[in-house]
Amino acid sequence: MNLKICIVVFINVLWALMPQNIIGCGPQADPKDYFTRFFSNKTAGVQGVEPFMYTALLQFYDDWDGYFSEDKATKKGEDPVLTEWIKYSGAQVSSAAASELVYEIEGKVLENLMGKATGHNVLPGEEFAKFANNTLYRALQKTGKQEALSYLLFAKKVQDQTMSNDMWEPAANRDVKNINALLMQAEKAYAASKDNFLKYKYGFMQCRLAFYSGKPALCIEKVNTFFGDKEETGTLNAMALSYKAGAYYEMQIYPDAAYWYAKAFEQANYDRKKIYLSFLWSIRKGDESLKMLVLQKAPTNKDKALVEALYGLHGLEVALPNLQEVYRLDKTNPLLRVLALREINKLEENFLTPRLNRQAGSKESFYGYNNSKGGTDLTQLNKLLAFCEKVAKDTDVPQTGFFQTAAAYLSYMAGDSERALQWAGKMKQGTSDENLVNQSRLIGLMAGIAKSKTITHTDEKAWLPGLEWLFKMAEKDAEYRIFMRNLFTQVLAPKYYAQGDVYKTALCLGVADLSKFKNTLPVDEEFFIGSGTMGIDYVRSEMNTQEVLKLYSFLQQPGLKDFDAFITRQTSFGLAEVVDFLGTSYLRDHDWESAVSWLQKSDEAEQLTALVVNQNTYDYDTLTVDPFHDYLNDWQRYDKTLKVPMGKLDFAKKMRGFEKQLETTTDPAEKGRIAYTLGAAYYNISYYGNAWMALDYGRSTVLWNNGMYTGWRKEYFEVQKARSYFEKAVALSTQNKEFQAAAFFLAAKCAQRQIIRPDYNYEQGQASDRAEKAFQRAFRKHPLLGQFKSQYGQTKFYKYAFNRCSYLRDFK
Amino acid sequence: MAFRAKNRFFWVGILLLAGVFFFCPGCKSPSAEQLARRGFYFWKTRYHPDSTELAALHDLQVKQLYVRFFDVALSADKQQAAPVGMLRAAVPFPENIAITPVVFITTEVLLAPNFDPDVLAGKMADLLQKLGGKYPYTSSEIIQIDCDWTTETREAYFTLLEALKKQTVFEDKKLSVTIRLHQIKFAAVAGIPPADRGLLMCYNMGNLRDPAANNSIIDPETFSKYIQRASDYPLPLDAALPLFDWWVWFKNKKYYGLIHAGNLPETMAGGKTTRFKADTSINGYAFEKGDRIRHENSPIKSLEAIINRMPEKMRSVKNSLLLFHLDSASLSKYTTHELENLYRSFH
Repeated sequence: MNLKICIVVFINVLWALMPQNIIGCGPQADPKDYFTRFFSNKTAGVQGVEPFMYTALLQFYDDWDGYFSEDKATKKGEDPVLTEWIKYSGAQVSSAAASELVYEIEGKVLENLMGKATGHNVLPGEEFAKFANNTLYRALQKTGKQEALSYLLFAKKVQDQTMSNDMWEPAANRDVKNINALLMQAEKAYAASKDNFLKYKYGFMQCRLAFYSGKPALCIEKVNTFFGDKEETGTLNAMALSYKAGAYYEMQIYPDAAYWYAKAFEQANYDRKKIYLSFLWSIRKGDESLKMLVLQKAPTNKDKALVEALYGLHGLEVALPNLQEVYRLDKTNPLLRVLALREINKLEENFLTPRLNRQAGSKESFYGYNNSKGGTDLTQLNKLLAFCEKVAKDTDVPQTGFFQTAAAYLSYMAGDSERALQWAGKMKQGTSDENLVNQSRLIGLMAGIAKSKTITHTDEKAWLPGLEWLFKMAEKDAEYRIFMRNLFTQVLAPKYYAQGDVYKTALCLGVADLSKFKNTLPVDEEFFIGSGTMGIDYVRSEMNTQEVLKLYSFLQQPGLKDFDAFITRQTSFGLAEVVDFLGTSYLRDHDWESAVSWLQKSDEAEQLTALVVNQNTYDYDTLTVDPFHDYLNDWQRYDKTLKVPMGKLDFAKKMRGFEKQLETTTDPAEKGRIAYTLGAAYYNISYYGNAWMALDYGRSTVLWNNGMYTGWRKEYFEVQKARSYFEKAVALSTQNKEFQAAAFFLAAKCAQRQIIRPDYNYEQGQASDRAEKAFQRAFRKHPLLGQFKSQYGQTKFYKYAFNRCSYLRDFK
Repeated sequence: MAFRAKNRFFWVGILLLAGVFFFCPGCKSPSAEQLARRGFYFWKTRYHPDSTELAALHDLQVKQLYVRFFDVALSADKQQAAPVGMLRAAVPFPENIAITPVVFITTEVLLAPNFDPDVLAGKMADLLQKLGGKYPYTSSEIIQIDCDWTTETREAYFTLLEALKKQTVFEDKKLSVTIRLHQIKFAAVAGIPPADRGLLMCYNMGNLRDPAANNSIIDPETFSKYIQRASDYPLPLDAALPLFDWWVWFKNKKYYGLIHAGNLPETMAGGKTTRFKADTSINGYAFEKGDRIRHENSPIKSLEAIINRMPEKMRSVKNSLLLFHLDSASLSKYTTHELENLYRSFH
């Protein structure tokens, strides 16, 4: 899955929920990668069940497969109808040729081929030749199966009467009279034919025509006649059973409809999703009272287990009771493993993901919803674990290896690493299934990591072969690429964080950027990999200068070995990026001397420029900002720009110079002007100013000083230093009232930004609304603004500011 | 005697009503031009309005009906664009109401590798023409395309719009496109579609999946945040307001699904949140202990507030106001007077 799919999926899922088209800004959850998962779908080892794997974001798990490439769609298997025809012809015929004759050629063309066309229906020679070379047609001709061609012609007539061939044609009303006539023809042809293959085809046509003629009872009778009790009468069996189920549905006899859809599902090797959807319609939104009636229709325990399994094969709620019931009724039902896998996924979503997310230093690198809540209640996990352990020991169950692996994984989830390792060990002894072996190796690795309280070099060395194996798996397998990413972001990164090795947290996140994979996945297996800069983003946004210096020291060591060599090789960033950032980190500390020193080492001459939307073109303009520009209102921040852009290094040098000048200058007026300039610069490199990019790498437009920021962000949002410099300028400029007024006003502006504006809490909307109103009031009515009016009301600057600053008018 | 008493009250009522009508400021009769801009969406597959719906069209003097003709989505094999939910009209369209065909396009179509704007435009135009032939209607001057395009799909969508404008069926027609609020706020990245008009969808403003949200359908405060730059928007903007409601179902504090209006008792409506203290089955919905359902609706006060917060330019007499959508269940939540006032306050 990729970003495009994510967006599309989101929109389409919502569209399916009509009538809404919700606001969406940016990528949304990938239906196959929106919670933390480590358990492969391949472990179930059941063919044809991919649509029924768990995801809360699509109706069927594989709904978007084949979206970006036809390969995946065609890989889903040959059309069994065509396979039957090829087999019947007894010749080497390609699927394409069979499809052309069976599905694509129009009836009139076939009439031409059979020499039955007259008048204007006769095709020109070249067109005739085009189709006459069809290998299936020739094979049928050669073997004298003219009757088969007549059948195909008949089938096309049926198709014309029951379905529209062109999706872009408005639906025509079905002509019951014509359908009845065709039904009679099918009955006659059935009676007359000596060819069993064609008899069975004509039998199926009778079922179909009876259904479309609006005679559901007749349809059921026909299906019973031609497809009755036989378990396997051919490819059309499942389709015929679907018609029978559909007929019951038409008669509003829903228990029978549901049961026969279940039987059709069981026998289908094609279009299972369609049949399952019909099953869902028939069970009337999971009405429990109806379920009893559906089960009553199932004559054997095997059939009852089938119905029970289908009930559990959809939805988000816990389906352990369905799983237990299927196990009780039919231990050999292959859907048992699919149901168990779905339950594991649900626990991953609702228990494991939030639990891992709560760890400090853990980074979810997929888009999910509300993934931070829950994850504390072990009840459901323990129930499923107990069930899997029970089944894992049951020798009557095929593929106990799956349940042993499941027990290992659930033990890991429950925090019992020893038990996880025991189950994984048992599984290894008992199976040669490659998918299960790989899965148990991954669980073993994870349980080993979980067992270690503090990571030592010995641990790292012990894990290395496992991690290298995982990396190799991830090279070729999309699921394992996701597992590897999750292991580094949500298992290893927080573990290093907990023991204070924040630099290794950053490196783990860098590995999870997956930037070192040379090969790409098939387009349908792609998933959203984020920015690919999670590692360096973490360095830039979460680490202080001391931590970055540790990272620098680690990376510049020569001859790193073992795990250290592995992690530095696989991470997405290196020494150069760290050196580039160290200068900025010192800018954040306002340590201009060190900043200059590191910025000089950097190859990247980062410049202070901003992207601003041009109101005329609706495009972005790049502005070269002046970090020393003073302005009244923040919306004027880009009014004055520089002709030549200023770099971070130039800025640091200038700041170093101004601060030295301030120390050495003795003239108060000059000192005041320098203090004012420094105030403007400190303000500008804050969140509110024009040169925020000197310190940060991105800026959200909705933040404010919420009183919670720590580290360099505290000053970034609170602008204490800027205020103190403006206040210094006020104190030093007693001889220049106008200048003093400007400095006073800007100090007041800083003071306004020191008013705490709590983040909006959606859980307590009304309280948040009240807090917001209180903030707005305090902002507009800041006492310094009143003081500004009383002290500087007569200055020209006051009048200038009054006309531009709306809240000053509140003090009129 | 009884008759006379009843008669007296009747005339007193009439006089009072007349008083309200004649002395209420802003209650002058709408002009023909204003009436011409009143509209409804019709968003069902089968056109067969019931008596409530027909009465609404008549009583509110609605002159425009934007009818969804079909959706364009990917076919089941994901390989080609195909029409979905094609319109079926069981009765003729009213002659005195201008019909605007609307086609909804899913973005999956635009992202598909074999997307060909010219071919698709041709097919869409052809189908519009065929449906017009099958179900004749009084045509408005507009054809509308509805699509929630994103930066990913912008280029493909705009190319398709250009291709559509070249089709014969669009000759002498104006192309209208729906605009979501985020597309107006982030116009710089969303781009301006090559169309003659836009229709701003003033609903679905919040995060439906957020258990803490109050009402994801309509919220005047949120609307204000998105609408600030609407006056600068380079296309003339019509507006659509919601009349629908639904329940949002949360399980384990996570979004679980939507329950459409009418499927649960009205006692659970009124914009309130219900928390289930025990496993409960209602109309086939099996709620578990701890589940929550949040009723979201479109209160008249919010609708009025939205109109009041629209920029003056939007409320021009040249722009239309549509209500989403013509459905008796939705209409039953409002009086004719309330809806009449909505139209009046727009112009």
